[in-house]
Amino acid sequence: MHCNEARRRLAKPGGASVADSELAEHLSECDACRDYARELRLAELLAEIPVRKPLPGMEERVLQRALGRKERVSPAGLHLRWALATAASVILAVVVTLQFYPSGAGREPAAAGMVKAAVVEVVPQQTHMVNVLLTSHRALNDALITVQLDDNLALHGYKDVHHLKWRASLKSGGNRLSLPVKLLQGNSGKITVTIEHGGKSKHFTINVTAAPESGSQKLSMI
Amino acid sequence: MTKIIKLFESRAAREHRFSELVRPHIGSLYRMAYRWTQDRDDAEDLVQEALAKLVRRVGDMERVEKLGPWLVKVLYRCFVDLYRKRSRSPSGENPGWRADTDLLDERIAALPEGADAIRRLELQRDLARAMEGLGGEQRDVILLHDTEGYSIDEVASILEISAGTVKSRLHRARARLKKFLGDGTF
Repeated sequence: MHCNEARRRLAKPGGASVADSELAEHLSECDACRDYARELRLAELLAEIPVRKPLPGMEERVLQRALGRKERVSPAGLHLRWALATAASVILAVVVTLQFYPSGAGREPAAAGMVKAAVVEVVPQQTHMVNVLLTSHRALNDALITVQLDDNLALHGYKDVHHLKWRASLKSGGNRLSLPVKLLQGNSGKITVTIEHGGKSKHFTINVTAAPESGSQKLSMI
Repeated sequence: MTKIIKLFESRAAREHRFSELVRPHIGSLYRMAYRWTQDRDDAEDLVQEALAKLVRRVGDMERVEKLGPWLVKVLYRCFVDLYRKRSRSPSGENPGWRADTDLLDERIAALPEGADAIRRLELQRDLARAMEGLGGEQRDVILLHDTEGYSIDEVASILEISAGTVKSRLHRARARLKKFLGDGTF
């Protein structure tokens, strides 16, 4: 078989037949046609890699938000994103367990409404990565996350921004929110994180205080 | 006449024209945003950011001959500004580009055992993982041209590089990806 014929068979719609022994024999002997076949296969596979479907109403939602008719979510969602807690780079971690009970599932335990606060000691004027590790008993699609900082604190890369809000889906299990926190002034500051889902909200606070000695970092739970 | 012009240029009219222009492209913008971010929420946020930058540029948009690739160019700039540059920041963690292989795993799990489509999805999962090893420049041209079907000239315009550079990046990227396809894959 000539290369031209082999390539014609390879390129025909639907691809070459697996039972084409002539073609298989040619490919076993011809490096160039084998490479051509692999290139065709690569193009076909790449063109059909699936896309995760957007959440219902995406088109109208982004349009309305872009037009300012609905509250825009912060692009911070691109940066301060939730991720599976697998990285080993945790510097200061606040571990929080949230339980969102479905409606009608009975009375929620009192402890589930307000999660314990944490105290983080940092060196003023230095950026510290504070990782909030949140475990959820079930996936929470399209949860609304709000981070509120007082004036003494800042997030690196977000000068003068003290209120961030974005949507994200939390996976069942561990989720991590990384906050590059800097204590700008005073001896302490407060971060409040709120997660809203299904008409319910949970919040917790992180009290950031100046470390008594330079270079120290410490975390404790209240 | 003045009143008519004012009416035409009123905010409501401008927003209506904006919506009419961009609505047909939101789906393809989401697809491209997902290709870059590999995350549904990030993709939606990225499309929203790109559109928000364009609300006051309806006049410019109406003069664009091929609006689809032009919008993707705006989307790409947002992606670089909001996502890729941030991933290089020393203060942030560096997540890099991570393929959403969970989606392919979900599709595989949904198929009956032994189905022909499983082998194809497994190959696509291997390719997606292989793309994690490509540099951003090579991955961009693969995603735009080979995955989403934009022409060489359109990719060149979107990325603001020459057509020759697009071709050479494609050639190098494909050569790397082909290594992940064994001889028995065609």
